[in-house]
Amino acid sequence: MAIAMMVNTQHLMYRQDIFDELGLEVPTTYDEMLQTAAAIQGAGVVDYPVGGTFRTGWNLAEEFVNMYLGFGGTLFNDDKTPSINNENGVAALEMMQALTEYMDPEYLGSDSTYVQQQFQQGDIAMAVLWASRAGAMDDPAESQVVEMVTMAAAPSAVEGGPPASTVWWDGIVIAENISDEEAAAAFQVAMEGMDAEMVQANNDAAIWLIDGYEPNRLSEGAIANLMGGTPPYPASTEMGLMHTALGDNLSDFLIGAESAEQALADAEEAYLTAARESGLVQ
Amino acid sequence: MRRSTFFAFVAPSVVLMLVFMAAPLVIVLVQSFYLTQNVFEEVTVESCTPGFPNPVCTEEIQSRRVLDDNGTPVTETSFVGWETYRILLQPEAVAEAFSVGGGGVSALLDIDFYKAARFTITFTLITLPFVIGVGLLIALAVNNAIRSLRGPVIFVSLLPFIITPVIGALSIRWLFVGDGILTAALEGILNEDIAVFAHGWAFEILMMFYRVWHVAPFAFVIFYAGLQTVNQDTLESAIVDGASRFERLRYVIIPHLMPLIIFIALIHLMDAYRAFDEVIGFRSEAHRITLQWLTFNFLTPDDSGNRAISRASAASMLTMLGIVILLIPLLRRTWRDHRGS
Repeated sequence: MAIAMMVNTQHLMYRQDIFDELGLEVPTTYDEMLQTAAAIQGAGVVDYPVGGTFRTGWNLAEEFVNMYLGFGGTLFNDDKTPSINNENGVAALEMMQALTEYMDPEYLGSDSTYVQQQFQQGDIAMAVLWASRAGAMDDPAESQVVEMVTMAAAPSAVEGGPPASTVWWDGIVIAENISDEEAAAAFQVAMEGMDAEMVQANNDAAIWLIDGYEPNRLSEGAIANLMGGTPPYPASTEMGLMHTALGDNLSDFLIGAESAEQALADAEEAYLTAARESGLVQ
Repeated sequence: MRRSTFFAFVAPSVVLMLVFMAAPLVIVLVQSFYLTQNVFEEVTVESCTPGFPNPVCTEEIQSRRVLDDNGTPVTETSFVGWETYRILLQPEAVAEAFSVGGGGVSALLDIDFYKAARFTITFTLITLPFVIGVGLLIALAVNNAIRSLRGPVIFVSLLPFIITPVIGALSIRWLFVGDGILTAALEGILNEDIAVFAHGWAFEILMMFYRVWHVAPFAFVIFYAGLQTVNQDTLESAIVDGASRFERLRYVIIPHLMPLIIFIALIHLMDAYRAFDEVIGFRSEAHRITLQWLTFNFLTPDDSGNRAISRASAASMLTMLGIVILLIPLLRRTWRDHRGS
């Protein structure tokens, strides 16, 4: 039993003032994003045109999943064996590498908080970042770019495709095997926290799915992602194992130690080892 | 002392050591030979996203854990012998790497275990002489300082050792990260964009520097205590014989401190081989990992709650084995000295 409370997704955030000044269009595909980044770099207005949550591990794997699904890839075969070492996988990795050319070279340590701070301190011009971080852009206590960051859908990987991102539905889950009294108590506690009063006090902290939420300019990116048909994150037991395998192996390609095919083959191998160990794949 | 009194004194420590050291070791050893798997069933599930803007419903075949009557997942535990060790060490891949047409060392270092072992061993062996050298230098400096200055100097030298390891590592990272104080200053001087943490070697050097900075005070304290017991008569007769400062150090002080140097080396080898905080503090996972981090990574549950307990156990046992191998030369020497005396 699950009750959704908020939705989170990685969408495009960009510096409206820089785009206006340079007369740039909002990129709708990653190829356009690269061109836009090149234009911003040429103008020299920020240190790095692009930010990205490329930290090795969970973040990097999430970026790959977004891009790979955007290219139309599927992660598994029917028998739960991996199917990422293909042209979509290589295309996704190569696009990620192309983006890193415009990033702070220390991108493999860059998580959501780091990208948020890059925005707040005016170091970057655009990034595909979590909707839950949008509110921080307008926080005058931290941000030097209040009301300068505009939200839009994540660029798509292929022309006309859905935004290359995934949607995360956050909520509370009540386990099936607890007693009815415990379930009732858990439900009441959760409902007490998820009321209109809480949402009004924290309107910009998330895209809430609770009465009393007022969507505003900060929620436009997430809404555009949803309207554009962004797929939900394919959560499952095997996906958990795959996510870890991707996070541990893909950085070898980005640091130049391996080819894209080799990094993907290593990730598949790591996934298979873990899946056999857990009993998922024979 | 009566035998019963002796046992009464020692028994609590023995019991604690058995419970907290021996028993966990045995449990981990046993765990590394067994594999606990979940039992999965395939079910067709229709799942819908929440309605925002409209629910998206999909029907798909999911692998679900089979639950027993109490609602706990059913697991099967089986004896797998050395299989988990084989998965970690990948002897076939190693053989292939060194066969004709194989990838050689670079193919070997592509395997997580050897990649971690390579860095862990380098890290341990390179930091060792620096810890002993720097510790000795500080001890000699303090010993020769004016008496009134010694207190403050000892206090300041000990500070790095008091800092929590992961916080210490973080603070070094913050100094050198893209917009850190030191990087910003260097960029200002050189007028060039510097990205220290985009290079594997930079991680390696800074992680070692951090470890030496952090542990040298410990060596210093021990050596400083040792310096207080150097035989002054021997030193004075050495001066009368015309021994230079360096010769006194080489032939009088260092032999006197030798048991302490071995002690520091033992402790350092054991600690450094378990290097972990540096990887977390420096975020070096993409470039450099350690054996202890590998164990941690196996134990970290993913979004679906999967953990690789067997591989973590086997990695722990291999780490312990590595420490034992590193310690053998030192222990043999200590044993010989012990027998000799």
